[in-house]
Amino acid sequence: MTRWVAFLMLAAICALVRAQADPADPLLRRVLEAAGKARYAGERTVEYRRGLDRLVQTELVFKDGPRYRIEYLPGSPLAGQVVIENGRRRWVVRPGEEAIDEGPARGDDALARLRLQLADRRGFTTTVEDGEPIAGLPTRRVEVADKRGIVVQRLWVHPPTGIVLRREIFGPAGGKLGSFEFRRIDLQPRFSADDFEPPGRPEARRGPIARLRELARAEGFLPAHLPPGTGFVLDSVEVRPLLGRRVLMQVYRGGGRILTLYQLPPMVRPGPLQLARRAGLNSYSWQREGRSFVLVSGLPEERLRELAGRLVVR
Amino acid sequence: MNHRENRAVREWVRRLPEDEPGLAWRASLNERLAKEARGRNRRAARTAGASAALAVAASLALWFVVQRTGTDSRLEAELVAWHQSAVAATDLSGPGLSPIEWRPSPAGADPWRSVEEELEAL
Amino acid sequence: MRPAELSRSGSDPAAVDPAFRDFGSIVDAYQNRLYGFVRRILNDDEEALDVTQEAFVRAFRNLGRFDGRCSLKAWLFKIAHNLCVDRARRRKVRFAEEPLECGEEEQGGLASDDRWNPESVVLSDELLSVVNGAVERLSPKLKAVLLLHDREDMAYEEIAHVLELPLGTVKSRLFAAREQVAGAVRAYLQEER
Repeated sequence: MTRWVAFLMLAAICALVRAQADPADPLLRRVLEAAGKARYAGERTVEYRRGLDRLVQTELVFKDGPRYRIEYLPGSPLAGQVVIENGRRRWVVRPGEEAIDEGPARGDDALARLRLQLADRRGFTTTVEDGEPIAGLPTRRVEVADKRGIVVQRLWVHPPTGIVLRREIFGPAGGKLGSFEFRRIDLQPRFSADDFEPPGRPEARRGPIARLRELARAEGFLPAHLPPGTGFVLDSVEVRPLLGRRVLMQVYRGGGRILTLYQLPPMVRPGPLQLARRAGLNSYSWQREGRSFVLVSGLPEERLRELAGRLVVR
Repeated sequence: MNHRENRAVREWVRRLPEDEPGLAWRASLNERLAKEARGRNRRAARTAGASAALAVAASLALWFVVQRTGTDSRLEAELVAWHQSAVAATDLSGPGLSPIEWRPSPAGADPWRSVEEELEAL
Repeated sequence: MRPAELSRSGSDPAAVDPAFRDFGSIVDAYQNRLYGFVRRILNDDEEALDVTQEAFVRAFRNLGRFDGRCSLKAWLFKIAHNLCVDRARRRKVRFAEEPLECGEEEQGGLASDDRWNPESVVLSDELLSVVNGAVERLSPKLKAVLLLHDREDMAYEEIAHVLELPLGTVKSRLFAAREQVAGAVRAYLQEER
């Protein structure tokens, strides 16, 4: 009897928690549901801003529930590159490169931050109004603003399907960070049997840790990374130039959060970065074996410090 | 309007939230200023004479100060801006390639274009 | 130099001998204020980022010509304001003159509301958004004077220098701008009653 009462209470608490996390507006619920269910084939333009620079890319997106195939058009800097995701894993095929980058599926991570913002009803407000037609389809415009009234994102949603046809993302000061917009979209697509199959030979596929080790060996970095069990998985790793030096950048994902780990020559004073705090982020930097390491995220600083202690070099 | 209303309006306007142009903006401004300082030094170096030498010295002093004190903040600004762009990329690209992963195809060009370049191309 | 300008320049740490100072710290000190001013004048975030950046670049380029006759802050705001006027001209938006109406008849007793008391100002989010909206709706000419005086704490003489206006025009525009903001607040308080 006691066990039944406990079970019912637990079920009630779970239902309450789920109800609080779900947005009240049916349109927003449909947006979140569509992430794993929608089917379409479309062409969209994606724009990223970096200061005064901007980067525009056109891509073909094929989506079959949780499965994706994204192709980059001839004439673009990424022409010929293909991304495939089958719901569990994700692969990037690049022409001229034998190795195929493999990593965890990103699934509906694109909506994870929106989900967190919608669940935080004290911190964010949403307004929904009529939007203009996009790619020939009617839309409703959803605006999410923070406590100060600064818009953090705008979405133009096709009401019957919940598909986001245009999205704009803004930074903490209200500056635009980027956007995407569908130019055309087919809501009844037909896909080939192998559109979402893992590409290439299995031995050509290389996970992010293997790529990290390769880059570390080639560029003289330590093969340092966060191990499994930290709640974060390595998503991508790149070496980028900064102030005449080389910086190894690792992006991790977990629970809808993004965590960035940098490794660079000993140029960073240990402790938090001043500018990260001003941007509403937390950071933690330390030195090890003559190198600076920096973690940047929205996670609390103590958590970053704890993650820093769990770094492995292998 | 009475004195009380005048003071109230003044107080409200003063308390309107402050704006921040953002870290990426600051990093880009620092780049422009550094470029400006280098250009100034080159121009100054072309002129001869004692007064010109003094001007060069002053410019150099300023440039060194900007470089010395700016290095840390530029580094920090870039690291923070890269993280922000990784977060924005997650929202925008989904499973597609985020700018962090972008490696131009062999025949591709640098995907980043500056606004100035675009204006020049018009 | 007038006493008001002297005291303001003296209290402004970034104004001391700017030619030999790190320009980065000048940007640190003024970037938010300048950006806020430009953003409100242009009503366009992206353009404001661009104009603010250009203002700093021009200031840096012409630092040698800064003669200290006004405060460094006033000089920066003057550069930024001139750039705003250029942009507005390019967009063919006129910095329109506003009729200077006093709206005395609307004041009826509302000043007795406690929220008019600046000492006990509880600026609720709603009231803040009313004030913000009213400031946004002002014409750029009125807005510039209001922001420089009430937000940036500049003296009339300094504002006259920044905007290149006669002193009397500064005063009348400030009056008109405050009246419009107060009018919006009055309407809001009346609705609330």
